[in-house]
Amino acid sequence: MARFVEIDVPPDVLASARFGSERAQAAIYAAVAPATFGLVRRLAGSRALAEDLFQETMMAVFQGLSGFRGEAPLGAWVRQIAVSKCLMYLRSPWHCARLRLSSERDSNALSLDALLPATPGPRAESLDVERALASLAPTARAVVWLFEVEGYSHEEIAQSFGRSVSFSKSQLARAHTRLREWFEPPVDRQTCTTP
Amino acid sequence: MHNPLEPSNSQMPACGDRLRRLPSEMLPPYNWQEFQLRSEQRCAAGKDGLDWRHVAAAAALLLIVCGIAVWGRVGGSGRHVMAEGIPAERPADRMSNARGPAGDVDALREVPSGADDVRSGRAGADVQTADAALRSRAIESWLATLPREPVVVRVGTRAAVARLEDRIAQVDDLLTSVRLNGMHADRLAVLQQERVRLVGSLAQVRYAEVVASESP
Repeated sequence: MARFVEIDVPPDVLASARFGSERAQAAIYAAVAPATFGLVRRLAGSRALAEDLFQETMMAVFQGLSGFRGEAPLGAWVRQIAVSKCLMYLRSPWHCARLRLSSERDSNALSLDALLPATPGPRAESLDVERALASLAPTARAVVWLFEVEGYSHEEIAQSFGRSVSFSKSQLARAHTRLREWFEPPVDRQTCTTP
Repeated sequence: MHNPLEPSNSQMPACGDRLRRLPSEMLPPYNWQEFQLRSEQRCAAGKDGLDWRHVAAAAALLLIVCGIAVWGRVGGSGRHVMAEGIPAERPADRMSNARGPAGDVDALREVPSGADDVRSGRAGADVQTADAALRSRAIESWLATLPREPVVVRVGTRAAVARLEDRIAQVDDLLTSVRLNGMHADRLAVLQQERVRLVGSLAQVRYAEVVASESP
């Protein structure tokens, strides 16, 4: 499972891409696109929205490539752009209005199948975890994913969301509770109390 | 960065592990050529939108929206003042005036004068219904002056617009059925108020979309 920081782009390819070499840019796209789309897909919720955010992210990457100084790995820089684009959307009034309208129409803002990956034949366990993740609210899902998978600290999450550290902690606690309920359904109390 | 080996919640040690076991990569939705094509389309849409006439139209629309907002705020207190000085006028007359060439903003200004009917003891629901119908029509006329949707639209915006339009259509259906089944003034007033709220929301979304599409 390749992580962003493990994405390796040779320095000469990076330099060529900065000077506008289309072949080098295509190579960078091939290197970073799968991980970027994977991250955006987890944070965005729906595939259509993920495609939109993915396009914005990759455009921002290539527009800002000339300013990338290589102090951090390219993958980490791309990830930061992707996270920032996704969180910007989650914070936007569009998203809030959309969620409100959706919740008015139906009780579930996102269907459980919305987050399922397009890759065919996922394992049963992965499918279950995907469904559990999809059952979370978008903000909680983003927080738990950034914390548990991307390794963000509470301070970094709070800064990204423009909120307090306690916001990050409470969102994470709620997400954990929800996931725990999903993975470990509560035992029927009647069976315990029945003699 | 936090240490992922240290579970954040001792009660849930497997949660992070399960999430980390998920595949972090997914097949991108399109290849490099398609990405380039879409990027060019977005850039072209952005450049096409940078027209001074569009900017001027957006500024004018902003003024109108601000006017509507200010009117909405001061309208309630203004009713009593107008009720003292303006002779009574039936809602039907005001509706016919609103259709005149003076324009929709004028029609909006005339709406609060429905308070004179309140003073004369007419049913408040009828006045509210007429007022709401006028406001709704005025906002819709304003919406019609907006430029068409940009070539590339955001999914979220498009979904919000589509949902609002659907709900407006639903309210229209309800209004029609209520009118056909006999005039229930209270129900009509509630539906008209709901329609105004939805049309107002749609106007805000469309306006913001226009401004966003014309910003560099």
